[in-house]
Amino acid sequence: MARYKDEKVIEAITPYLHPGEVIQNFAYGVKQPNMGLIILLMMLAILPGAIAVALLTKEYIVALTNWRFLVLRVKGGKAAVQEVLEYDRARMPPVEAKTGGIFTHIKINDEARPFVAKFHRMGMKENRRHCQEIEAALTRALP
Amino acid sequence: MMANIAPTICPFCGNTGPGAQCLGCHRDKTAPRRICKACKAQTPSSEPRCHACGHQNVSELRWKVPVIVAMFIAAFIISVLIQLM
Repeated sequence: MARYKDEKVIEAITPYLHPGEVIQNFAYGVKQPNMGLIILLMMLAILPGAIAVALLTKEYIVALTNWRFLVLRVKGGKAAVQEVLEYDRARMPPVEAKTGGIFTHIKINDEARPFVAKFHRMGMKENRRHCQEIEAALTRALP
Repeated sequence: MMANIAPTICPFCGNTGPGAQCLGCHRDKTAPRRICKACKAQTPSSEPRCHACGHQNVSELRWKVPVIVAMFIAAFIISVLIQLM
C-alpha cells in the first residue's frame, strides 16, 4: 500500500536541503477536498465522484530536518515536486497535531503559509513512527 | 540537535547571504514556491510567471474542473441511455 519507497522520498527532498541540513523524519500525507464536497460528488455518481475526489486530492511529502519543517507537494509515481513550503523550526507557527488509530493529522496555523494534511499509517514504511516523531517535535512534547 | 540558523542560499537566484530576505533578488527566501514545469526553477507562488524562463503558471484546476464536469455529464447521459434501452 505504501505510496513511495523511502529512497524515492529522500531523493525528492534532498534538492531542497541547505548545506549541512540533515533529514530527521519524513512522511507521506494527503489533503482531500472538503468532506461536504466528497459526499456531494459521491451522491451524484459514485465512479465519477471517486475519480473527482482522486483528482482533487493533493499529495504531500513532509520532512523534519535539524533546521526546518519542509512540505513538498508531489505528484505521480516519481514524486515530482510541484510546490515547496518551509517553516523555520526556531520560529514555528502554532501547530495542531494528533494521532488517531489510522491517521495522524498535522495542521499548521500560519496566515501566510497554512498547511493541513493527514498521514495514513500505511502511507509509507514507518509512516506512523515518523509522523509521531514529527508531531512530538512540532508540538514540543518531546519526552 | 536544532540550531537557529536561517537559510543562506536563496532558492530563487542562488545568492548567498544571511537573513530571511535575499540581498540579490529581494525575495523572501522562505516564501512558498512552486517548481516551474518548463525549467524546474523555483518561483514564489505569488508570482504568476517563472522568474527564470517567463513560463506562465496555469492552475491545475483549469483542466481538472472541466474534466470532472464532463465525467458527470457523461455519467448522466449513459444512465439516461440505459434507461431508454
